[in-house]
Amino acid sequence: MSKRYLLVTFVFILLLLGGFLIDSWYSAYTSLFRSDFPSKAMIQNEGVRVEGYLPGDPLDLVNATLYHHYERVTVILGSGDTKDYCDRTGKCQFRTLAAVEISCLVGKLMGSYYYETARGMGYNDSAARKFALDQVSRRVNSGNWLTFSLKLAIGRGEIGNEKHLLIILRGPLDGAVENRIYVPRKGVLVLEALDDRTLYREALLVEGITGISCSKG
Amino acid sequence: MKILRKNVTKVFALLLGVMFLLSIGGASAGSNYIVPTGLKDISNVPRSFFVKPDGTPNVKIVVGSYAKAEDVASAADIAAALGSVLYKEEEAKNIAVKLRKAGETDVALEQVIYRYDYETMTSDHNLPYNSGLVNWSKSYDELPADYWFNGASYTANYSTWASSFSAQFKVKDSDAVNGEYLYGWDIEINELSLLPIDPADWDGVAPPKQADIEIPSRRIVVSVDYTLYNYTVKKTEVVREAYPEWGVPAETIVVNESRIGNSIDVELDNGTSVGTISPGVGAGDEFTLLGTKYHVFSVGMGSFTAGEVLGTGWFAQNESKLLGNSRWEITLIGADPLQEKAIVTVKDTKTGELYGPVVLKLGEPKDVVVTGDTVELQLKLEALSENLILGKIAQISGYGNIKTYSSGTYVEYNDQRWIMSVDSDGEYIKRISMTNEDELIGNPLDVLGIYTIKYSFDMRSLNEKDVDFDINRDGSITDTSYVVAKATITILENHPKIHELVLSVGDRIPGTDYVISGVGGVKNIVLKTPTQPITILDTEVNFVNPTSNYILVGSNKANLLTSMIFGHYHLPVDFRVWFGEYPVLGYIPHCDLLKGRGVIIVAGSTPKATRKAATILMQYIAGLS
Repeated sequence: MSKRYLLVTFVFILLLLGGFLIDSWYSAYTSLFRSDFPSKAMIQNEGVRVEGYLPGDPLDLVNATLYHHYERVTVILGSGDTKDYCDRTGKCQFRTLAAVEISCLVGKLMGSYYYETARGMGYNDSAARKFALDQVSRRVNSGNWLTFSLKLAIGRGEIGNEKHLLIILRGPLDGAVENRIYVPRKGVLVLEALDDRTLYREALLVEGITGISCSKG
Repeated sequence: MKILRKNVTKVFALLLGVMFLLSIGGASAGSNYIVPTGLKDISNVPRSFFVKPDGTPNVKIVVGSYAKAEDVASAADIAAALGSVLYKEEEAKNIAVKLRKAGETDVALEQVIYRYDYETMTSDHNLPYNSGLVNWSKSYDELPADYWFNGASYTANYSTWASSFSAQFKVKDSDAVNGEYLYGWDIEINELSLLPIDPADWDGVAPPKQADIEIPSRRIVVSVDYTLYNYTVKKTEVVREAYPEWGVPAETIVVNESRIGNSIDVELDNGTSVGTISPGVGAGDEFTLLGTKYHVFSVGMGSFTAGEVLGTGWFAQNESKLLGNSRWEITLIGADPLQEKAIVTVKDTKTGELYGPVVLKLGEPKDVVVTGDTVELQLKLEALSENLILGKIAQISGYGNIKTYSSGTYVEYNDQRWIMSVDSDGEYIKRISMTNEDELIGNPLDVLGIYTIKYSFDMRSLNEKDVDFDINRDGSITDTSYVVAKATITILENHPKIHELVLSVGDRIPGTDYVISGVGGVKNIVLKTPTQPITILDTEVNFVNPTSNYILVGSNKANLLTSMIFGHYHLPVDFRVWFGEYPVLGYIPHCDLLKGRGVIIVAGSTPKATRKAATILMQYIAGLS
């Protein structure tokens, strides 16, 4: 009888500890979307702010975040609510446009890095591009919708750190409250917009900030 | 028996499937995807379909007007793959150079604090070249005590080094007044000491093998100067280069460059003050100090009364919510829009203590929690309203820790206590300095999230016989190893910097990268975005004058252009019937609907099948040469 009690208590404590841990990860995740960042800049005629977790120029920070070599990249397309909305209404073209632009940018950044690495090893142009694409397909994971376990992985810092870049698209159904592009911590970039059309604009603005684009002109 | 029956059903189903595939006339099955009849297999797509010879894109991704969740993912996958091959050789090089550069952190200071080697022995300690180096240490325990850096040479002992250590830094644009981040920090560290990880292993003579760094109490000072000046700096500009062969001298003019900075900046830049931009922080202003935002109620001589700005929030009736990022949880228990009143209760989430109910009147600040001379929480009802869904809602703002700050007041930053020193003239706060009350310890040691201080120790040894040289100059080469050692303090700037900042694709804004208007607190910038994105909506594709090849993502249900092309080529309309759950991939080298441009269709009857098709296309692109 007492053994059983002990077991029940033990399991209870385990559950409690687990719950506490999950809660702390979860709140670390939600704190990414806070609004008290020390550096802010406004992009004229766009109504979009750029913000960063460090003082100084937030554009520098966005650049520093993207111009950093990561081993992996994860792009989050949106939350489960947006996913359901897309499936229900099929009205996700601007989310798609945003996702494509930002994924292409990331592909290019990483691709260039591996291309140069391959060229440095003596590969010719086409072999180097092949090597780059092979690396990028393995390292960039751009088709994710947010799940609970992803949130926890982000919260505990497994995704979104010095080695693993995280880009989050945060639209109206994902809890967006402002139009802004921000870096809430090392290795995380969030595009937040009150509508998907602005989200797409923001993806293009990030191309403007970094000076790299998959596009012409 | 049961197992057998199961297997029989499986085989039957497989057979049916094969028959079904054979029977569909509209398509032929590839290894794991279907190519609609009349279209070509993607194995025929040349690399030039995607990229021009110079590395610029030759393709656009056409996004369906009825894109579903998996279509979004498919398009993103293809885009990442495309991105990895879309660049000119030169561009890739530039990006890679920037990437490598960004990985390096800026070293603000690197100081070898202990150095025991041939050079310091002979030059700093004047040991004679011959016969003087016989006592050269053979192990860590023999390292001498007087090789610490004293600022000029390596002749000090540990305690002299520790107390004489000093470093100064400037961090720009870290704090704000009324939203303008123009105010920098001046940081001064005046003493460092080393705390060995294993104290038993260290006698204070040679540098510890492993140690934490400690900044003792009151040995680091951070000051923020809130008085800003407009000042000019004289600069010489070359109008005409010299051509000495022709006897043409260079022509220069002296121009005044306008800058903004505090008195230290003016002095360092050798500038001339033109005017005062900001006399300091006055009553009614909001300013930040080490990142925490304060609202100033009044300013005295050497003191000021202020509270932390907790934020503003909307509260629905019976809803409990934290006010901003503070520790206070507020519940609106009643509201009367007619009488302009709201009733709230407050919970301190740190202690669990409850306060209230408190009646808030519109526009009147109310002290809710008071301890001694400090108002821990003051709330103000900003607005009241009624909402069809939420019912009564109230907008409430608050300040925390309202008290009088003067020199000697303690404040907390990152759970560490700091002592404040205030310079104010009764009207404006001019300068605030803070010094640490608690010692700061760690290796690496984080200073205000801006700098990281690291300690490292390195010792190496070399055997006389191995190099066949008389290292200690005693006249004989023996089988003896001698050590050299050094200890280093490195101060790194945490914020990685990109020195070259490009703001636009293609052409830039002439002269400057920014346009700073300086209105409204937040810095305004102008950005240029690409005029021809890689993406295009199916409804926006120009049939008369198409500019590139197209990749269509999504079935005819998701993508209007797919639907049109399927109609044009008399392809099956019902994807589910014709293609089942298979991914569909097709290539049209010259699509007459699009003036002969090439088209790749990436589709499936289900979004999942489309996603699979995208993966197959990616693998194909990867194999292209």
